[in-house]
Amino acid sequence: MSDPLDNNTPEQMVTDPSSQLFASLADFYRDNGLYPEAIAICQAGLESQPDNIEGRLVLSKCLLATKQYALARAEAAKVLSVQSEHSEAKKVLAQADSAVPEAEAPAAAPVKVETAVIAETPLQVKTTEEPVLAESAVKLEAPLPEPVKIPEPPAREIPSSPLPLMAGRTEPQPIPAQKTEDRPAEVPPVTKAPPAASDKPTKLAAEEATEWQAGFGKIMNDLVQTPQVKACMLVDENGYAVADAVSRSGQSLSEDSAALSANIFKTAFEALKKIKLGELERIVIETGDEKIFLRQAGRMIMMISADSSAKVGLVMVNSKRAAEQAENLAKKEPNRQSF
Amino acid sequence: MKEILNQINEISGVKGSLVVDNEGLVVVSNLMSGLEERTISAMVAGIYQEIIKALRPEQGSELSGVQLSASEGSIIFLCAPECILTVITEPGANIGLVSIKMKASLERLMKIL
Repeated sequence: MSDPLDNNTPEQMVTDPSSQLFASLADFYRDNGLYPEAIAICQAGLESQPDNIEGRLVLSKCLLATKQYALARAEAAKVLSVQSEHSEAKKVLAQADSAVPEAEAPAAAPVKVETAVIAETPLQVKTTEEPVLAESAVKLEAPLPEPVKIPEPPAREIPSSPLPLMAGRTEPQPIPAQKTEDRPAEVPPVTKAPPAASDKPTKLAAEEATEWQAGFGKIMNDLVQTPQVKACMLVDENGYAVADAVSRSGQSLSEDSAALSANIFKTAFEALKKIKLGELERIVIETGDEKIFLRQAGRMIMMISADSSAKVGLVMVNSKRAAEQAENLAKKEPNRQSF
Repeated sequence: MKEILNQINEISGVKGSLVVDNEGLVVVSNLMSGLEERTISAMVAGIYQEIIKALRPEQGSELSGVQLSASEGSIIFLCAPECILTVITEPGANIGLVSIKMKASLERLMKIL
């Protein structure tokens, strides 16, 4: 003969959820704030004793404490269905009704999870797994409202932050994109337009420069046509040859002669200044077989090599005209660079 | 030699004349006031040396005479192996006549030297 009270021994009461004292044990847990354990005990006990009013009431209180208002209200309603005048059940129902129903929906899922987990595990209140379960359950319930809030900020941050981020990134990205787009757009005009525009000026400038240089050569060619003139050369103030011309019977003047003639002219120029004879205009050097004429043409020096029998007066006249032409041409230099 | 220079100075437009050696030392001079013989002799010697450098010695060219025409006068000098006869003229002087007279005078000077 087995006594039903045998099930209520302390060991059975702890290990067996079908014990009739599960409601008191769950209430004890509830008083100490261990709501998940209390809920687990109640649910396990109510499976075997669904008509246990106290156990269901404790469950409703625990559900109410864990803000599972719908479940708490349902459990309280079950109690009231059996005992309609149950004051505590009414109180729980009233509190569940007054609570915000919107917060119940998200809280409902974790309860099922808890019940499922706890139902599978046997009730071992005094074992070391209890606090683990309790902590895990608390952790599961405590963060419940937080997970709802946590996803929101990221959800807000993601759309909000990416926008500025994208805006910040897209702004620089379009800029280089525009730059890269503009560069090829700008470069071609810069490379194409200026060359196209600068080709003509450069060509014109080159043509003008060549024409300008050819002008000195033409002056020298005209001068070398003077009788007995063998060669002539136009030298800048630094002794570099600008243009020269040679007659049929003459020899071309070397660059050394040009440099030396420029040096002679400079020395004589300074000497005549010191003697107070004014500015030097021309030099006639007579040697045994030739006459050398040096004349200033603006900033240039004209050197004429003539035969010893050359008429100085004729050469002087022609050289003076040529010097004036060269001086005028030098003033028309395209780049206006002085010699 | 002074007499020879005086004959040159009698030509219209001639301001003075002098004889210098190749180094620029004055041998004899007959210059009008305002002309410094040392300065003129040094300048003439310098120009002479520059021209001698410029001439091509390999061709055997020997300097015989130089005319330097400036805005306020001219310097003409004829070169002999041992001396340089120099004449300073005004701007409107007859350079041709002066040159002929200088050549005759140089021959006389060469006989004296």
